[in-house]
Formats: sequence, C-alpha cells, structure tokens
Amino acid sequence: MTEKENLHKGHRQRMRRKFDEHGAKVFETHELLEMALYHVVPQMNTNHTARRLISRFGSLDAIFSASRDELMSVEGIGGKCADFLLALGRLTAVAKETEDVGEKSFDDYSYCGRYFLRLLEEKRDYTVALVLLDGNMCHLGTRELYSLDLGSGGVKPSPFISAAVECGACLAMIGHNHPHGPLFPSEADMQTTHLLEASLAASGIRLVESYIVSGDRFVGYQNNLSLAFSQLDDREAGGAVAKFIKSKMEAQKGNEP
Amino acid sequence: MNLENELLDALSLIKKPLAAKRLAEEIKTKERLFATSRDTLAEISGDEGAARLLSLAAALSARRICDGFRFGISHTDAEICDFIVASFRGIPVEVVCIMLFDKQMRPISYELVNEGTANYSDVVPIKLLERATRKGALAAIIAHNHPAGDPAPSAEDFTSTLIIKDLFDKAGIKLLYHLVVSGNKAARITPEMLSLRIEQ
Repeated sequence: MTEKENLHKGHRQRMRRKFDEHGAKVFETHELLEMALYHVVPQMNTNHTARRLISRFGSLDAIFSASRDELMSVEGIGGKCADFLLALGRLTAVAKETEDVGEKSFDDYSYCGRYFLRLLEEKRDYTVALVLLDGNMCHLGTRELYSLDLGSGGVKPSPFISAAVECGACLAMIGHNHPHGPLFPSEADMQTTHLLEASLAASGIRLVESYIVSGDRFVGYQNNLSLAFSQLDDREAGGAVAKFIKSKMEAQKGNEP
Repeated sequence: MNLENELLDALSLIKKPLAAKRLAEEIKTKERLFATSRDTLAEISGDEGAARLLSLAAALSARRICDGFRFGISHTDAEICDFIVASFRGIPVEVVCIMLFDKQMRPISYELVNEGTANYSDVVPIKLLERATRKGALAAIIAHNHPAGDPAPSAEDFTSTLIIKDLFDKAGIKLLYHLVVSGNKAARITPEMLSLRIEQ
C-alpha cells in the first residue's frame, strides 16, 4: 500500500463522523456533494468529481438543474451517478407556491386568502367565488357564481348548494371582491354569509370561511372577526369600520353561552 | 411529483426503496422531512444509510439557495426571507442568526450567533450587538428557528426582541425585524408589533 493510499484510508468514515458531530455548517459545498456521491460511488475518490462538477457548472443549483447528458460529460460521472444527481436535484428543490392548487390542503388562512386574491384581483365587477373542499380540506373545485354589476350583490343560496352537491363537497369557502374597496364586510355581506351558512348547513355542507378581496389585500371575516380586525389598520378602516367590527365581535361574544 | 416518488427515485438508486415508502408514509411533506433529525429518520426508515443521505439532502437543499445569495448588493425583502428560511433547513436544534446591513441597506454578512438545544436557545443580546458593531452595520435582522414545527413567536420571543431592539437603538443600529422560522414558514416580529404589545 502506498503512502498516499494510507493517508486516505478511513477518509469516508472521518467525513461522516465530522458530519454527525458538527452538522453541515463546517463543510464546503463540494464536500457535501462529495459525501452524497459516496452513496453511488463505492470506491473512487469523489472529492475530485465533486470539485469538477462545481467548476464545470459554477453552483450547486446549476448542477441540480443540468441535464443527464451535461452531467455525464463531467469526468467521473457515469449513468447511475447522473441519475442519482438528477433525483437528488428534484428532492432538494423546494417548491415555490404555484398557481396550480393541485391537491394542496386549504387549511391555511393566508393560503386561501392568496388563492381568492389571484382569482378575483382582475375582476372589475362584483364577483362571488365558491371553493369546494372535501373533509380533509383538500380542493375539489372552484366555481365563479356571480359576476354582477357593482353594487347589486343579490346572492341566492341555490346555485351554491347545487355546485357543492354536484362536487360531493362537505366543506366550502366563499370569497368576493370589493372592486373599489373597502376591505371590510358590509352589513349586507354579513347577512348574505349567514344566509349561505344556514342554507349550506341544511344540505350537510359547512361554510368554513368567507373572504373579501380588495386591491392586493384580503381579509377573512366569518369565523375570525378578531383576526379581520387586526388586519385592518386605522387609516384604511377608519373609525366607523372599527366600531362596526367591534360591535360584531361583542355581539358574537354575547351569543356565546 | 409527490414526496413518495421523489424519495423512491433517490433511494431506489441506492437500493433502499422500502425506506422511501416508510418515510413517505410517516412524513408527508418535504419541509417536515428536512426538519427531522437524522436519528428520527433512521428510526422511521429503519435504515441508517437512507437517513444519512436525507440529512445530506436537507443540507444541500439549503446550500442550493444560500450559495446563490450575494452580499454587498441590494436584495428584495422576499429574497432575504427566502435566504434566511433556507439557512435553517436541516438544523434540528434552535439557533440564532443575525443578518447585518450597511447604510444602503445591502446585506453585508449573515452569521450564526448562538446554538441551543432542540427547543431552547439562550440569546445574549450583547453578543448580537457585538457582532453588529464589529462589522459596522447600521441595520440588522435577527432570526431564529423553532425546530418543533410552529413558527408562531412565543412570549419570550417578543420579550427578547424588545430587549435587543432597545439595546440596538442605543447603539444607533436599526432592528428591522425578528424572524421566527420553522420549516418553510416564517413569522416576523416587527418593531411596530412591539409597540402594539406595550400599549396592550
């Protein structure tokens, strides 16, 4: 055994022990990549391969975004290694929130608000949207039910019920826009919400939240008036609104047994 | 592509498909996967090698974002938040970091100040101030993580932010906000929120 081979004996174990003891912060990026390659390269020195990858592509993100052929053009990277790097690239990518809602769970207040915001921000007319969910708060479908002239928000429960039943939903959320503001529920909004809530409940569907969208902001007001209140700043809401929401909150408290 | 397929893709290549299935069943999301310690991953998957590779993947995922971040140039608030959130990925203990800014509000450094246990990190405000003054910073963001999974700031987080803000104010350094990170989520404590709490 040559002197050089002796020097490298136990190198992988030493690296792993160092990672276990100190975590990733004490490693350079190419060393982390070197350790990842241990899993598919049983014997070769992967430090050189990792360095070659970094110098060829410039950054970790570029390595993980490269194609199989590009990866295989680097010395020391075979088909299996390239497949491994591609799989690792997919695993280490953190998905940004996309427009496609897919199967994403709608159990997050802000996520739902942003969803309604995207749906309604372009609308110039008064529009009501209904989001239908299953029992696990997963998205089943979205319906735009009303697109009326501004101010004539006469909403009837029957289209909401038939859409929800058709989808097989057991939970629902509604959102509507105030094209010219303000970002708070009017008396008519509250009444409509109560009417819809009662009508949907009679069909076994629970209305979990109602949102208002105006400009680039949203507020959910049905279940969480205190949250809605905290989101309104004084300049925007004005004293009258603050008073209105406070009175609603007090009325709600008064109704509690 | 869902988590199970991604795990199967990566772990089948190292002949550990069973570990991928067990992990996908138990840990539903990627953010939870990356926030789970190696010991727990090994326990769930029943495979030390798979657990080791996944803790490496968490570290690589953080590096992927952090290596692309350049100091000394202007960044948007969203870019700064993304960077800070990514920097905590794969760290199973509570740590405190500070990002420092120059007078043009360009980030000049990001440093780990303190490392604690799984749910406790003792932040010494003077240590933070020392880091800020040493670099000649004029503004700072404090960040720490909640490895347990809830980014909601605790009462202690508000109190420590208040103390740090007072100290920084006296030294002429503006505390922009205190970011509490958990997985991919972050909550921020701003100086405005502190004044609201005092009024209450």
